[in-house]
Amino acid sequence: MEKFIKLFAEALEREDEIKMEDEFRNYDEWSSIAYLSVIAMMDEEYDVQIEEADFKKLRTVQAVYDACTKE
Amino acid sequence: MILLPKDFRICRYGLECRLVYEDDVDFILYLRTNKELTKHLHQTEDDRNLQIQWIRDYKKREAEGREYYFIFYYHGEAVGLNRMSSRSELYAVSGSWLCKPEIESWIPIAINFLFNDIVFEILNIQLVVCDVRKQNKKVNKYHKMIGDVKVHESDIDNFYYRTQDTFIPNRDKIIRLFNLNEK
Repeated sequence: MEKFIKLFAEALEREDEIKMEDEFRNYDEWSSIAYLSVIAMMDEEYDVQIEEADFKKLRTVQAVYDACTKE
Repeated sequence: MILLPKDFRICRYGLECRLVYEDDVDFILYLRTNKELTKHLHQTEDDRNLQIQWIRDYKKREAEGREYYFIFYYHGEAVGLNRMSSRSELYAVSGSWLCKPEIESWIPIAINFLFNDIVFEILNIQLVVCDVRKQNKKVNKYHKMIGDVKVHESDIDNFYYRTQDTFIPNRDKIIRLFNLNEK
């Protein structure tokens, strides 16, 4: 999980703390470029290709982590 | 330099794009005077008449093929702008990439892709040059993600080169991630 938080923070260019229960779309750093960075990170680091409609359902950092790590 | 027709129009990635007209003044002013959106850009006065005059002057440059200012629509709603200028067939300067807040996250990327497709495929320009404020971390990151090469930096700006060879493989990867061809 530590690695995921680090990658997620890098994707968002966020220096403030990230908590798993955070709703990431409320971060100041959230933008279309952050979105692109996150789905690229999911693809490159976790080999997870997520459809836009499915990503829209993810609200929290935990939900993104779960999507990355589910079998 | 290839001249685009006045009624140039192209649809791709679920977007529709055309050249800016005088009637677009209110949308342009709305974006150009948004302090959050333009904090890293040259400031524009909130003066409708000045903006109309600017568009009239721009239309002369457009007629000579020196500058093209594009407006983008999604489902009939204006969502963004992107502009290029060029004094040579060899390269273009890209700028004024601005999008309406609170649109779907993939749209700003699709706007910039369609802009680059026009520049490379239709205008047959070989090199796109961009300067980005160093403080604008998001956009600097985007330039790296689409394969732009940083060629120079000043105290405040980074300067990037973009060619088809560097852009297209990265564009195609992002098209797949965003499923842009299905929009």
